[in-house]
Amino acid sequence: MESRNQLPIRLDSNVERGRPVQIAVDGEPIEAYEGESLAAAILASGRRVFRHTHPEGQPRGIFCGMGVCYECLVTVAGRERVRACIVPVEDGMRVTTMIE
Amino acid sequence: MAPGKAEVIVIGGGVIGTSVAYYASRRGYKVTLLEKEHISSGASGACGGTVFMQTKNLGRHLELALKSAALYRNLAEELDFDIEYSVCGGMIAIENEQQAPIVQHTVEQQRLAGLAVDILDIKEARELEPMLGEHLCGATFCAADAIVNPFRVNRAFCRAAGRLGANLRIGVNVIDLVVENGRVRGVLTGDGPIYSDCVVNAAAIWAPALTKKYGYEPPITPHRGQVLITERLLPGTLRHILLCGCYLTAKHHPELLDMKERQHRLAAGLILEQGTTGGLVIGSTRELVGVDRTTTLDGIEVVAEHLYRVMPRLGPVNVIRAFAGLRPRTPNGMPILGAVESLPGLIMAAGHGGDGISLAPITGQLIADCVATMN
Amino acid sequence: MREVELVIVGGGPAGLSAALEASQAGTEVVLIDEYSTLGGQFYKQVPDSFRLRNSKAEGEQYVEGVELIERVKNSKIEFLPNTLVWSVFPDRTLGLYREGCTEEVRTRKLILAPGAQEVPVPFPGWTLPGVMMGGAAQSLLVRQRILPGRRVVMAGVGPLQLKVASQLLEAGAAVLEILEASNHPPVSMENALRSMGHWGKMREGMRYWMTIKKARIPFRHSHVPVRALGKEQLDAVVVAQVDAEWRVVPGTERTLEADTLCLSYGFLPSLQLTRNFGCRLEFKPQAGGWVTWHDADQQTSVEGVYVAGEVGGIGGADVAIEEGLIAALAAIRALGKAGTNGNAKKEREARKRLAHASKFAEVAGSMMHLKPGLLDLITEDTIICRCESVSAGRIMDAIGAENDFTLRGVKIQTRAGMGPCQGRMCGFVISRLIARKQGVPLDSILMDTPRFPVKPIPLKALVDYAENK
Repeated sequence: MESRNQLPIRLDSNVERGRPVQIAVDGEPIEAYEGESLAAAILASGRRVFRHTHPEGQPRGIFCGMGVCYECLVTVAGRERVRACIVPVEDGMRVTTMIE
Repeated sequence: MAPGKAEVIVIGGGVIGTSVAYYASRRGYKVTLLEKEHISSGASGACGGTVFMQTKNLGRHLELALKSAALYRNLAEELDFDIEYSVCGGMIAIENEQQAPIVQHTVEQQRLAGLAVDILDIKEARELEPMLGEHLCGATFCAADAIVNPFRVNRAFCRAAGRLGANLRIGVNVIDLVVENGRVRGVLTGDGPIYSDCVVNAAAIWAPALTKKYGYEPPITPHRGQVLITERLLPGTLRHILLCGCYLTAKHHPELLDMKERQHRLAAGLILEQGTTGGLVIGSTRELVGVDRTTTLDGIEVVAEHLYRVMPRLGPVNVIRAFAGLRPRTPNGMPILGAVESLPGLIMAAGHGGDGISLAPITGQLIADCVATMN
Repeated sequence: MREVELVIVGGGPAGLSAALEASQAGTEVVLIDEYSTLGGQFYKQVPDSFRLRNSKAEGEQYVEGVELIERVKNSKIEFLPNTLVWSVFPDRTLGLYREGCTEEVRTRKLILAPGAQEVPVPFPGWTLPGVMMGGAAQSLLVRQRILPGRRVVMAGVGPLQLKVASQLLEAGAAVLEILEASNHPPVSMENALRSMGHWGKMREGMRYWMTIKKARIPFRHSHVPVRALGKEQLDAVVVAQVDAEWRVVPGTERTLEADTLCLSYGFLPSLQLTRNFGCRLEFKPQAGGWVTWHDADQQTSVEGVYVAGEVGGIGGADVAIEEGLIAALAAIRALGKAGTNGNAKKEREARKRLAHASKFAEVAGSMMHLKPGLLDLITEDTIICRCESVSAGRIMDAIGAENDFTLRGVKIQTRAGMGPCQGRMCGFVISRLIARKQGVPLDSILMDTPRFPVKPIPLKALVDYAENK
């Protein structure tokens, strides 16, 4: 199943994305498109770990995908901590994956 | 059901009741603790964990608080239970020029009474506590103020009492006192009578209801305190326990209060701590609403507003929960401790207002002394 | 303060159906959803700024959603996206939070259609990134056009995971195995559907089944995931066979190398809003446990507050659509809107369709019943309260300590339920652990007092709210 591993995370069959927007995660600029959820952009950049719990240091990521579990929390500069699966990306967003 | 007999009956399973049960058990008394719902089901489960010296009235009140603080220092070891006690120090934020002279005067009096308190300008204050707003005038600092986990204190006292032989009867409601020839001889519970010549009334807001018909009505009134809890923040976001200066203004010079009508009506004063796991506990209103524990929009807004005024940088912090506790307050703010002359056999241990957590250890010890005197 | 005739909370099948009906009758309708697009969990849609080259290629359900949403856009319905209802008041005032601003709206009639969440089933390692609900995987695929993982194991009970598996396969993921906890092979569900005349559902189910068979994906009934392994994220899943009560059969464990594990164990109604209103609940084990009680007109025990869809009992989209319609008709009537011709007939037919759809819901519900063996997957160290990282061991110690068997007692002792999810992920299991330890029926376990905020909101929002009044 080698070819499967080369599959891009972002699928483009039957869809044209919105215009690209500039966002940064932990200081690194990543690819993102208008309308995408922050979670989607973060996952597509190859990151699955959204935060670590304190003080246990357990890695956490997307769980419910619908805004009820509060696992995918990230910090957006200038705003409250948000659920990445609910919040759409915005041009200029600076995101840090939380260390609680 | 055959009537029970106990050496000492303690009514109430909050921090006061369990503390009394512990200290009395430690003295060798056979204690029966009666709690109508559960451990921490009342105000002891709906409060913060601040252990302030700065808020105590000079004289007996402060004396009790200092003795209690001394007991707290070794309590975790003694009870073999981590109560998350830390002498972190406390600060009272001076919000404006109006509060400054009042705070100044209070601090002077405290120093004379032997409590070490400093007054810092805002620059110094922010070095100690960076979250304080730049626009504030300054803050006090008292190294003796501390923080503890109130739920763990309650549980710790309870379990230690149990290990020392106390009979913990949870889910048993005390309906009435048993009084014969003007003497208290026990209590009547939902499960029948239990006899004892020594009954400790630690029933907080329910304490007066038990004794009223026998001609003794301690002046304890429930005051609702609404509290907010935030999401976890990085440890050290707040380094001390905090109060706002308007609390002191309200106490000594209420006529000077420059507060919006609603804040005045809800008697809201900011009291603030960061719990061990990182969430902030932000209080509190002080409302006379009977035994209503619902949280209201007015209440949570006024507390939120107050915090935001003192620490605007906390604006983006998520509030995840609100709750309310009914604090058993007395008119002079002092708890009612000791034997009741008009009802021999009855000892009062109630009316701690918002000081239940700070004064629990000393209360337990004093009441144990009282029990010994009575016997 | 803003006063409107009808607010509908939730833009899924129930809310859309209700909004369209009410708006058609000339009612002023405000439709609120926490998400950025309409459709809820059933009609998942791509973001507005994405363009589908051929929406028909997405399938019937997607197109149905597109059409409903189009009709809303072309109506006078006011849609408030990205809006959280964080507080509710007895006079039907709602506190709203959206994009940093707060506002209030008071409504004459209210229809609550907040839907459901998926059932959280804990087992060792379930908190690892890569372990997610089936709906999360589906949302990433269908809404965001993102592949949730490359090597996927599916687990759970019931037909939803066949659909998600088939969607994953079409997107190019490797689906390693599909684990069905019950001993019902899919064919028995199909038999049940056929016998009740649910042809459409049956055809749909067969389609997914064919996709899976064609790709030769092993479908194993009486199997569950027992452990998720990995350090920073999921690397492997240990699976095992279970008996009729879903207890692990010793010696049957196998390890599958996977980066994604999807859990689809059914649904629970989202009761927070109705509970905050003080609406009466009833306990219906086959419909998700506690559900919001309502009368035949979808009105709750609180006058002027109606419910439609999953919040009144898990029933699926067909039930939700009819309930939305009935609730709207009842609300319009109560508002005194001039009765339009044909409403009585419309209602009769909706009730007929509702009865038919409810039969399917009942069968599905009984087949998706979770067996007690699932609780045995939990070990001492399994995290039960994810927000506060509270282990099962600590929770079991707390249950019954000092004779306290309440959820609140467990909360106070362990902090379980004190995090931002407000017990949404742990309440389900903790109630069952209490009931089992105490030996009492599940419905005797009382939930803690409902309070606002219904979901967390920033401090500043509370301050702004106060100032804006």
